[in-house]
Amino acid sequence: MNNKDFQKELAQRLSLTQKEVANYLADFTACMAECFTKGESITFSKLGTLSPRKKVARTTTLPNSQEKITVPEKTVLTFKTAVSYKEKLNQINHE
Amino acid sequence: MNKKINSSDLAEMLVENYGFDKKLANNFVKEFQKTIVDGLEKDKIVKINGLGTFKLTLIAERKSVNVQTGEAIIIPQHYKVTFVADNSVKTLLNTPVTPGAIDPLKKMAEQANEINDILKDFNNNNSSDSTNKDNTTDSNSPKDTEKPEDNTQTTEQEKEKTEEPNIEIKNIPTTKSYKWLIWTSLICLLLMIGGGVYYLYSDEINRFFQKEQITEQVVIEEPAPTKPTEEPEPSETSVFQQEIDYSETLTTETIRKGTRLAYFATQYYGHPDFWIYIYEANKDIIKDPSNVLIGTQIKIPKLPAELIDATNENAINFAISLAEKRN
Repeated sequence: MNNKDFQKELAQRLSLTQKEVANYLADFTACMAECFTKGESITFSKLGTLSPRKKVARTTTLPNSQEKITVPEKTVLTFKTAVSYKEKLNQINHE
Repeated sequence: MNKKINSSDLAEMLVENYGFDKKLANNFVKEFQKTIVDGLEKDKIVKINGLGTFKLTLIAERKSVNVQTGEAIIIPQHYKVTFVADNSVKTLLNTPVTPGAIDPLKKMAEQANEINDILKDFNNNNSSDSTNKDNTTDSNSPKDTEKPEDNTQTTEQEKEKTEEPNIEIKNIPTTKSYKWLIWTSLICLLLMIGGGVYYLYSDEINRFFQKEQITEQVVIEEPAPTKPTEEPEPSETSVFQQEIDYSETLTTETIRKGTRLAYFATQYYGHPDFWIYIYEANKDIIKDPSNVLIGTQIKIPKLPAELIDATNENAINFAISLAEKRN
């Protein structure tokens, strides 16, 4: 399901046009990105939690030249599946 | 620092910051996660621009050991949701190098905005007494001190800042009005000077423009008579009127897969629209110019330079009109 399909599906469920949904979705993602930059994590109860996580700067050695380089610190967006959704997923497999 | 936001908070934010309808915002967030869940079930992948990609991956069964009892167990195969953030989000997250350092700056900006608002209020209520002003700032300052809970330094800065505006208030509006006066008077002066000049020299200006028109007309008339005298034989008009001579050939080419007449036209004449000349020269071999058989030998005719001048629009248009005639 790519972005377009997703928009289509959402538009159908909300009974809006796809163009409107595209605009709302852009605002929505912008809103979420703003939260992430503030260091806040977002929880969707049925899906899971999206949270920005800071990775500390570290030094590594290149395996081929033994050169030491420093990897700068960065923040990454991580996702943790909600427990309820995990159980649901496990059930799918058992059937 | 690590505040958690649930879907209802998110909906509230959408209403406040992005002007969503309250009902719509709640519905949107709800359906958003539902569609992701359903989409994952259906296609095992959901891509959302500006956020990232959710993917369902199947983890094969593997052996493991129960940590507490040391018992060997098999973890059955199962699905796992993986998420990869969109590049735009990645860069957004990493643009502020040290988020801690920028936060106070943002707070300062917010404070500045608040002070600006207060200033505007003062400008509106200029008629009210100065005692009123002091009261309003006092009522505002406790609000400000409540907001930043963490650092006391900024609150001190705020206090200083809220005291400053009292001094500035009287200066700002007066300098602004002076600036306006100066600008308006300057514009008026310029307009007056312009009007005066036009009035004085209107006759000369009109004459000047008329002269220009006359000279332009002259320029237009000139080229026509001069050209034929300079180059009587190969002039452009005569080339286009003449019957085109295809007897001379530059080279011969064989049609390969993927080559068309237009391809040879660009190669030898510099413009794809000149393909018509190649077709004309090989009329006896080629039946359909848009579908030439592979392996046929065609002659590339040698043509006068004016006819295949890719920079000349006339030449191109002539070739196009020729091609249309053939159709």
